[in-house]
Amino acid sequence: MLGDVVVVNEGNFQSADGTLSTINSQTGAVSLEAFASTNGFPVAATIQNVIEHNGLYYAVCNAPDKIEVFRKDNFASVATIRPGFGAPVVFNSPFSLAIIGNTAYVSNWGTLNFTTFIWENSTLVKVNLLTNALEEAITLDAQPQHLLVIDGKIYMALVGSDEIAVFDPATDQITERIEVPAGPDRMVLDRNDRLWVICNSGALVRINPATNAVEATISNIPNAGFNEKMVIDDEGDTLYWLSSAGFPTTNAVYSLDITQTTAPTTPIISGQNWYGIGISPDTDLLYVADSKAFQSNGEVLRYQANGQPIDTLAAGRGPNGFLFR
Amino acid sequence: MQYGAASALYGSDAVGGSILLQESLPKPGFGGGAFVEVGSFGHYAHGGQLQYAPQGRFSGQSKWYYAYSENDFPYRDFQGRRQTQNQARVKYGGWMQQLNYRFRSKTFLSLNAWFHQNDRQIQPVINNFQANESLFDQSLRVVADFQTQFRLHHFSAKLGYVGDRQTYLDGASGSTFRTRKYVGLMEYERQWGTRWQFRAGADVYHTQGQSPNLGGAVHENRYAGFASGRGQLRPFWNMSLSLRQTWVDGFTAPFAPSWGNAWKIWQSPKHQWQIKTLAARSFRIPTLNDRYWQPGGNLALRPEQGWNLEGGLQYRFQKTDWHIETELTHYRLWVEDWIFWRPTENGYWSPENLRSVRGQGFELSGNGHWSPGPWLVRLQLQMAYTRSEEVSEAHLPPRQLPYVPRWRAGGFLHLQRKQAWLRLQSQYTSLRYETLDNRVGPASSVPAFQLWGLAAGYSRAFREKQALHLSLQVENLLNTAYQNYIFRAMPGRSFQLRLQYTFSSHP
Repeated sequence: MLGDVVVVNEGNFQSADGTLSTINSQTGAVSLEAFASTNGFPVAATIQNVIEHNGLYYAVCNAPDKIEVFRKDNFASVATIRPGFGAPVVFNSPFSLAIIGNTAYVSNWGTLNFTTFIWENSTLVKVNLLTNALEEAITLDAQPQHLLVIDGKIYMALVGSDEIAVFDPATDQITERIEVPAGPDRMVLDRNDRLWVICNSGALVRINPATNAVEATISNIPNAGFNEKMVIDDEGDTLYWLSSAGFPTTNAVYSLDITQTTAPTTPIISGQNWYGIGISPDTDLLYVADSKAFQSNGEVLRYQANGQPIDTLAAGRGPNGFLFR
Repeated sequence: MQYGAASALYGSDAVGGSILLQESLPKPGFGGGAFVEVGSFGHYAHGGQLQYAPQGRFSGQSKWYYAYSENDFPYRDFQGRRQTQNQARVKYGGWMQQLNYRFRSKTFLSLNAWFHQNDRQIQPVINNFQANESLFDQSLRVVADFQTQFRLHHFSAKLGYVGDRQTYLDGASGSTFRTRKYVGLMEYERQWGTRWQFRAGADVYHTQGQSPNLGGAVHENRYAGFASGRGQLRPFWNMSLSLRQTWVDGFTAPFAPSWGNAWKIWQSPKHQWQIKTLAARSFRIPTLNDRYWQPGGNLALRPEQGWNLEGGLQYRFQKTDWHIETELTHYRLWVEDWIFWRPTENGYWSPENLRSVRGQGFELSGNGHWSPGPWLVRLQLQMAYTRSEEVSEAHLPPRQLPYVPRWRAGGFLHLQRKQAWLRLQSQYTSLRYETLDNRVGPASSVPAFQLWGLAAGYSRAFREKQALHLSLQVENLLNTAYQNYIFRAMPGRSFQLRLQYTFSSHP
């Protein structure tokens, strides 16, 4: 039986053992390898992000680079999107995606330069969701991370720079660049339709998407430094994110009320090897993913929003995030 | 002769071992041979060797080998679709040269050189058609070996150089890792009476590593002294004792003794029972990568250290056309300060002396030989049970290390009649875990598998001291689908045909 909480288990790079598991939030029952048991075949990749759109989940995977499309209600596989052999347009370490109409826009890290350790040849790849064909790779000038659709435009956090790029799908052009502190990473919208961005240099930024003006910058934010994990509650008024240490020993949860203007100094909870965070929509329970340093399969720790621990549940390898169905 | 990659990248220790590779002097006269081999999935190979020891002081030996495999084998993917393996090509080749000069009957100087090159693509997981990673290794080993014997005294001195270079490529982007190792070794050995042998010596290693990942060039010196003796304490009791102390720049490795005994407990013309024991201290020095890799290298690492204990019972049976040998061994090992890399709070992975490992297991082997008339029948069976468990987290039960199977078994049946032979072999590996928590599941463990193989051959001698050998080998006879490493496809049934020519003019 599939539970109502989906756990994205990234898997160990090279082992391609990423999985999707579920939790029944009422009973705590865990269904490991839910995708494999529904479909009879495993994801067999590293899963970076799962995006929900129109009753479907899109799991963005690398090594192998592909997108697994499956139904939100029963996890039945719908399609695997990947370039054909020798195709002119390919994914290159895809990380996340955004969908507008029948087109998916996939952010791709590109190729790691082993001398500078900078990602090069980063792209935004357009996928036709009617044919699942990769149509075009648009070159980006910095490594992209998360994407968010606001008002028909794609906001792209260019983590390899200090900019949020606003991409217009009507013209396939970046129409505006919003300057922020270095390393913009994860973005969420609050109840006032303001865009919050966590930057890996340790800052939170509030942007008004109507004007694309930066309204507030809160610095000295304790953060993860790599692949930031941030969520906002269902009401859209409290941000929660993982912080302190670094990848992937991220080991504390901080929160911020959207009306606050200074960085929090004490975490709600802390622990070891934390790698993902979620907040349940109705009950406001905190779901924290413990990666177990990728040596073992991970665990999910549940807490009340005030930090009171509830229970510990099994997960797959390297859990990195949650979706609530 | 051991082919294959003795790569320097992850095992500077392995490289140290291989310089001691010793070749005996060729027998007087000439000998040699050559072979060609073709096989499934784009495989072909050739090689040959020549030994020359004319009358006089010079002798020598030359060898070459080359093998290429496209490895474009078919497999079924997760949804049962037929796919062709991509990006799994392997090619390697090399050349070895030995030249010897004999000063006196038991005094000689030997020069050995071995060049090896290995170019292999890194096989991606099933259905990854975009992967483009490869490794290219080159290594050159040169050793000068002087040996002399005077009555019961034997003395040898070696000077060696090992150069290794490995390039990792992901498409056009990549990095190169280089090591150069200089080795000096001196050893004295003497016979004491007819029952005792004594050996002592010292070696020095100077290693240079160079890579962007080491932050440029790094150096390491190692010195070791060793002594050992072995002999017969009583007619039924053989004993050996070895002592070794290694020093490395910056730290001292543990003193490593080893002590072995063998007792013949019962003996008759047909039966022989023997007990063997071994106790040894072991250690592993952190590699240059462990110490200097950027980022993450940890100069504060201690060597891994452990103890092995081993005891065995051996039984032999002999009759005119019969021979049986069986052995049961039990072992235990304790390893502390096991080095492993883990994510740190600084945003990268770093090695630490964190784990403790306990191992225990047994090995059972049996070997039978039967030669009725023109026939020769050989049967060999072995099995091993291994518990290799991580025990450093006290609140958790002992956990089997990833990829160490609990059970392994194998064996072969070999039938020969004059110049023709047939061999059936099989090998079993039990389920292996992918992670330390020992979970079983499609993405958490690799299923058990058993493979069968069949080979047949025919040899024909002609003229004087020349022969042709033809053999056909079928691997994975039953076309079993299995994986060695999670989600990596393995080839189904494959064939290899080999033709070999040998000659010799040894008196």
